[in-house]
Amino acid sequence: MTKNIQYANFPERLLARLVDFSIYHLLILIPFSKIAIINDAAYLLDNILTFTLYILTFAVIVIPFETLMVSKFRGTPGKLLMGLRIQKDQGDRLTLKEAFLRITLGHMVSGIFFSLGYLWIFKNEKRKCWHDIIQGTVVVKEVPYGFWIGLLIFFVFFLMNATIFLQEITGLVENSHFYEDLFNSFFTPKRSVPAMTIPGV
Amino acid sequence: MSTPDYSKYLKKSFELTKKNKWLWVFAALVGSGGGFSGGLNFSKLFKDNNRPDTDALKNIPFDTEKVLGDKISYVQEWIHSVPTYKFVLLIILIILLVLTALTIVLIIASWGKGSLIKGIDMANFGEEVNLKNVSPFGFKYLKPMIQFSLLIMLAIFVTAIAIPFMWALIFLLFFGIGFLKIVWIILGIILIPVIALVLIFLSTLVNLYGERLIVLEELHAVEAFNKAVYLGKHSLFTALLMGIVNKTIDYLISLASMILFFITVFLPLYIPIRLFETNPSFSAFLSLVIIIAFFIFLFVSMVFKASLTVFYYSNWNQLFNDVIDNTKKND
Repeated sequence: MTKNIQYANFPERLLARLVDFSIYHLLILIPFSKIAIINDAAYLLDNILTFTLYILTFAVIVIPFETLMVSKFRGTPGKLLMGLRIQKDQGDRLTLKEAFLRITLGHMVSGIFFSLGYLWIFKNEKRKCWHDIIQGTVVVKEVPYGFWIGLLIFFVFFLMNATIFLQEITGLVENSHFYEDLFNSFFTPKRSVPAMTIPGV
Repeated sequence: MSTPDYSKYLKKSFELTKKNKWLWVFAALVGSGGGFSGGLNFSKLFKDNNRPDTDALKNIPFDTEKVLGDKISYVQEWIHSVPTYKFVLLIILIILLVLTALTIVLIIASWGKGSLIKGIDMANFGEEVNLKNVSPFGFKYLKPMIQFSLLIMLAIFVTAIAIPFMWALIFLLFFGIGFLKIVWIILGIILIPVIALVLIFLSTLVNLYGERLIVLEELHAVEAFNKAVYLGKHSLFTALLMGIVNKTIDYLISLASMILFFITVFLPLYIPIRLFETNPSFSAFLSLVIIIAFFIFLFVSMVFKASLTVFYYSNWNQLFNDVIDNTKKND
């Protein structure tokens, strides 16, 4: 008996990507709050450096992480949470090399010409984007209510992102005098330099 | 080699480019590519506007300079207080990120070139060309194409170091003789740019032939490099002419596209600016229309640039086939 394969459609795949981005965004936003609440120049510089190191580490590991996820678990976190699986046309897993090429080269192929390759999903009967066509892969549905689960997860992550973002904005507004002083001390010329008083002289 | 019929090349390339639109996708990945494969380059339009205003920097008031000086010394103090391992980590991460980016760019360009060259060849033989049947060739030739690109980069790097080194060595030999030293400096000023130009031409030619030898003749990277040098030596003049033809077309199209950009996007900007004080809402609406027009122009130019790349690649493919046929006949 052959299994009836259901291919993921455009809204499902877009939502899975949005879930991915909301997770990544949260991972960036949380350490940023350490900068937003600071009102001391020395700590600010320290935290900016730490945040830069964190962002660079994140940028370096994100591709190997996605490669591993696609190869070992057949999907990025968003796809897995929604019950979507990436596989070869014959149903096999992607090798590490194929997964790496899908994430780098594949997404570049679909992304050129203003992401026309992603919209190809509407034209293809197996709902393939250009990066699926070049590698002979498909994205299949393994959970019937995946879209609604994904929507719920996205909503939760969206709320978390929004809450932290608002807290950070509030933190920045509360420290606005500190930033104003800092900016002025760097960029506003002082016309008169006050005389230095030395105690006991 | 006898002079080939360039008009035949251009006509055939035009037909092939018009008929096989899937090839534009591969060409978009290759990009303008530089050298003889060039195309439109919009970055040139904005290049000069991005220069920092050095005069403004010179005119910083004395007080500001003093205050900035204080702050700079404060930042310097902070830098000294940061543990060294953090800076080491920062440098390692930046290097890793740059290397990752370069690797990805190399993979994309090599895959695009391999697929494009093979796709053009298939189209030349009347075969159907699409993403599904051409892209496997991009993967098949990915490794030798990357190896070949690295080989070319290495060759350019070694030459770029070796020539000034040789010049400096001879200069040191003339150290005691003042007259010869001056002659050698003048010769260097004249000859080094000429040698650099010749080397750029030769490396581009070796690159063009080498890539086709890997894809169309199924040679390994080193074999392709050696044979490309041999082919380059035997077809210098014909390749130079092909390059001039391609570049002339490229410059004419770049000029036309710049004029078109000026007329369709840049010039209409004057209207909303003029209307801003009298009718701000209409001015905002017009600005929006111009922004949309700009993006449409960007999209069209991107597609057009890709089609031009197919056209140039097709010209080189035809010349390469003729050069190979000629070599086989002579052998």
